[in-house]
Amino acid sequence: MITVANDDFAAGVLLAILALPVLAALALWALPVQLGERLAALYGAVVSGLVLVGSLLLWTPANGWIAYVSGGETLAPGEQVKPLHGVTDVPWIPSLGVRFHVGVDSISVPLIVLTALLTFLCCVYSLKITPRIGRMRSLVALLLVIEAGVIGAFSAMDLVLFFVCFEIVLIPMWLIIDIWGDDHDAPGRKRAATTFVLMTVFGSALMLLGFLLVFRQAGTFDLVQLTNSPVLDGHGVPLAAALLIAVGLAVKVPLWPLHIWLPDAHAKAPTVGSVILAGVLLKLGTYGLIRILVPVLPDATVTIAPYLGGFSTVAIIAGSLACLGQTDVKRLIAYSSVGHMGFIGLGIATLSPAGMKGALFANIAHGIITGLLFFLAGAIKDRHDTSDLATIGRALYARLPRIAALLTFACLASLGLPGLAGFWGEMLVLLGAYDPADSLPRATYLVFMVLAGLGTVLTAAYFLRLVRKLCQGDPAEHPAGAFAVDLSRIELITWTPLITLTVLLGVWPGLLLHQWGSL
Amino acid sequence: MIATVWRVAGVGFSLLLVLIAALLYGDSASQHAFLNSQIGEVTIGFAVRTDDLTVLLLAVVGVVATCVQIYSLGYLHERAASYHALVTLFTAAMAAVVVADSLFLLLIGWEVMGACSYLLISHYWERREARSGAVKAFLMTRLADVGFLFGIFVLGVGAGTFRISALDPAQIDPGVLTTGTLLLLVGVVGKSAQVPLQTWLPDAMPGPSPVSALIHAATMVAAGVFLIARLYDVFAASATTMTVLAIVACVTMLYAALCAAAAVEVKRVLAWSTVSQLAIMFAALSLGTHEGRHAALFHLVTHAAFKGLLFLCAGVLLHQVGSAAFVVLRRYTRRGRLRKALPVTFVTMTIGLAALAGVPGFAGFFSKDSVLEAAWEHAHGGSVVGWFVLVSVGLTAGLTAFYCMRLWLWVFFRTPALAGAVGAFEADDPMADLEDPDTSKLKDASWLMLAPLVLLALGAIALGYVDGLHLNWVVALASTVVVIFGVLPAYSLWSRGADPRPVLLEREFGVDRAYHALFVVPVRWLSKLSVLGDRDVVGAYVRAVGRSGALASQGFRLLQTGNVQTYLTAAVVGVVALAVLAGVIAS
Repeated sequence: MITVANDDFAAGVLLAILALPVLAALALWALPVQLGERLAALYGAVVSGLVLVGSLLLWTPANGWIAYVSGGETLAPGEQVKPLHGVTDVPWIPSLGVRFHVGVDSISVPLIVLTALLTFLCCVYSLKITPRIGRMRSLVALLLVIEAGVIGAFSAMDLVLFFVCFEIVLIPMWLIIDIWGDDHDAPGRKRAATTFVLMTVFGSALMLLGFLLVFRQAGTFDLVQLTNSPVLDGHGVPLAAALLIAVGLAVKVPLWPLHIWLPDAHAKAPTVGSVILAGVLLKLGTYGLIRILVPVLPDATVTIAPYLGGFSTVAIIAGSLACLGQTDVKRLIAYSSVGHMGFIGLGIATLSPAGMKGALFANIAHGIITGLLFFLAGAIKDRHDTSDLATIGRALYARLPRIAALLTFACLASLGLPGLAGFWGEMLVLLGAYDPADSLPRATYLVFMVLAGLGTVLTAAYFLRLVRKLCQGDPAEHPAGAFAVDLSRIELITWTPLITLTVLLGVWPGLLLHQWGSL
Repeated sequence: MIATVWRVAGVGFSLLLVLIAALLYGDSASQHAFLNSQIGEVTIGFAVRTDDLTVLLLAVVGVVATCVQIYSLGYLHERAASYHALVTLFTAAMAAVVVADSLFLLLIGWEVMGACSYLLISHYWERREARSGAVKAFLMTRLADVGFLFGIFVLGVGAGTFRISALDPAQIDPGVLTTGTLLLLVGVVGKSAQVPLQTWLPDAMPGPSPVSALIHAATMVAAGVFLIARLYDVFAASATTMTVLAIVACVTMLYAALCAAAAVEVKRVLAWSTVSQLAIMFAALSLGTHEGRHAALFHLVTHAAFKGLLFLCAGVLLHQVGSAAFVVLRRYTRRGRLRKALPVTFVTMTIGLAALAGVPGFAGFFSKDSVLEAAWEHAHGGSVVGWFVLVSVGLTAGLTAFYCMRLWLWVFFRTPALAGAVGAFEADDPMADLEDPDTSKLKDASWLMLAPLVLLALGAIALGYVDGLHLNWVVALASTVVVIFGVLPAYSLWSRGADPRPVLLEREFGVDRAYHALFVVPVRWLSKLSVLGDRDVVGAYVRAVGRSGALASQGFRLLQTGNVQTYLTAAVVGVVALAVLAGVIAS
């Protein structure tokens, strides 16, 4: 049992890791320019390191959130209705009934730790490796603001607060792509940044409309109240609200065919931007689906779940096929996210324990593995000054043996090789699709399962194609470039945690699965 | 330095497996579960077990892996660190499959083996055929593994457990049982390169020969046989699955033996022969009897010894001569040099081929006969499947003897008819008419490589007798006659200097080309379509919205005249309009 004193401590830690990055970012901007530029990365590493420690302090063996059952099923006896901890609940905009209500449970804590970890690694990476344009002070400050916004969204227990945090993240990300993006293609990166911000804002506008409809039905924005007494009925206004929320979040996930902003944004963003974007920001969408859509609008979710599953399955196949046709390493990895997020969407759409846990697991695994992949792609891009496959040339095994070996490892992890982290999430999602919630049409989900299974083969195909095009080949035809330095120390330090976690979660999935014990 | 560490670790680990197998020998069967998580109604986690089957397979894996690791010390000089590390990882994965009692642990080992196989086939990644062979091997087995995973779901959810020892066929609905075992069979067919997923194994041959010996002959491809033997109760409970298995096995063994009879490269012959011999094991399993399972496992063990031996011998040829293609080897054989320069290799390879062909007295003879015997008894019981298996294995035995004799004669003996000409294989290589190669420096490999050959050659003879001699003389006699009928045409063709290869067999029945047209080309088209669709359809909507936004903003710019009176008028009109509208709605 969590004692009150303990919970006060957790609440303090949560507030601290929410406030610290924002205050630190403001302080960084307040510093004199030259001093700020020099110290920015170190400063960012220290601050985000503190946030990481704080987020780990929140990791207590808590119970699951609440039973994710459709319809009006009651909780099992003895199960806590509100296993939240670190709760702070104060009025914020009383006239609208909006409260500053934050707290964490076993769903949000792993995601918060992932956020803190990736931000920390990005700052450490920036100690030595920076975008050509410089301006590190602003870059680090923006990263810290993003971190605060994302942690806020993962801990918000109020719909409006969630929306605000969701929006806070967008502008810094837009700036990061626009300013620090690909320096060979200024119009391209501006277009990518604009598409990203416009589509996401469009999505969140729809989501806000959905929230307002929920408010009209239930009279509150509070997620805990909404979860404990959800908006039932799968027709009319609840259905419209569910549709709006689902489409709004689907832009962020991104779900086919709303994914069009993603390849450009990832390909043009700087390395740290891509890592944060893929590793953390995409998770906001799936987290929103699990946290808000499923528990708050259970009946309406059942109505739209088959469509969600269908679009997710199309995303898996179409994303993988698109990957097969890519000629740019960063774009390819970006497109691979469409397929992987499709698996997560399918897992949520099954509404079954296995599918949900699979989606949650795949969320974390995708963050770790794709983060690693983008770090590697960035390293290759920095060394060759291009991310075009043909220009980079082949035979990286001969030119950059360690980086190429790590790339192969990351590709194998990402294609879902059993024994590495990528497998368990996808396996559980497929298991969930084999045995979806009773209220869903089973035959439909069997078709989804088979198609998604074939999608894993296509995933393997494009990653092997990448390895073949990039790592293998005749070294005589592709001699080493002048600046081809293999794995540097800072890269090794930054990537080691990601590699370790990939293996650890692969051989011991229980580490995370236990967290969601009573889910 | 790192390479040395991995060399030592590799040899040490495989010896450890042998030791574990020796220690576990005779122990009573037991299981142990760990790291489990409850998900809904099912438990996902790991479990290991030990029983006779585990010990047997551990011993096979350990011994072959030790031979291969030691042999590789002499065989392989470049990229030794990654090579030995991957072989060790592979051995560990195979051990995981063998000891697994949880279907998920089994799946992990199963797929990690596939990944190691991929990485090791592409060990010589500067060669084009190694790259494409590796990708093909991984994708075909991965496709089959999707079926395997679904089979695990069906059986696991149907039985409510993912523990192998807890799967009870009596508790599972027959329809579920058949579906589940058929899906598992898909994975088995892929892993063991049976029809229709057979084409990857011959193309995996550009990998280093010791890898072919370990992965593509003795252990990984035999994992399918192991799996069915492990789940024999479950498989045997479904007659449909067993019939499908019998058909697949019989078609495969004849198909692969025919392909082997027309292949013109030592390793390719051996690869097709592996496919064919694995099919014999599956045929024995498909009988569904205790004798069938016993015969299959017996053949698995002897096959691991003699086929591992043969691949290692092919490796010596590659290492010392530089090629294992018939046309190159013929140039060395014209003066009979190959046999004299490589005496140990010649003798051990002869033993291996004799065992493969089923010459009486060698291990392959006994194990193949036990398959025939099991089929004979089953057929006598009135089973159509039994007859089917009996006839197919008999025919395959004849074909096997034919291609073994063909390989042996053409590689090691000068043809009397052509008096030393390159003869039958020159069409394969325009360089064939060149001068005789310099054979004075040709010598046998180092003892590091030859010692494993001798050990396995001893195994290829002695393993036939470990099971106790209980021959059915009728079957033994019949199979000997079949072997003679296979050997004679090979000898006769060779002595006339002819090697007729029908086009159909040379192209391996055109399966590869058909698969390319049916699967690879459409996927490429779809991928192009998908990229274009994203750019020109989905992207077009987004661009259109952007453009209409820009147009609209230009329109609004016209309104911004800077004239206060215009603004004021517009505001008043707007307020009036809203008031009217509100009134209408309210009423």
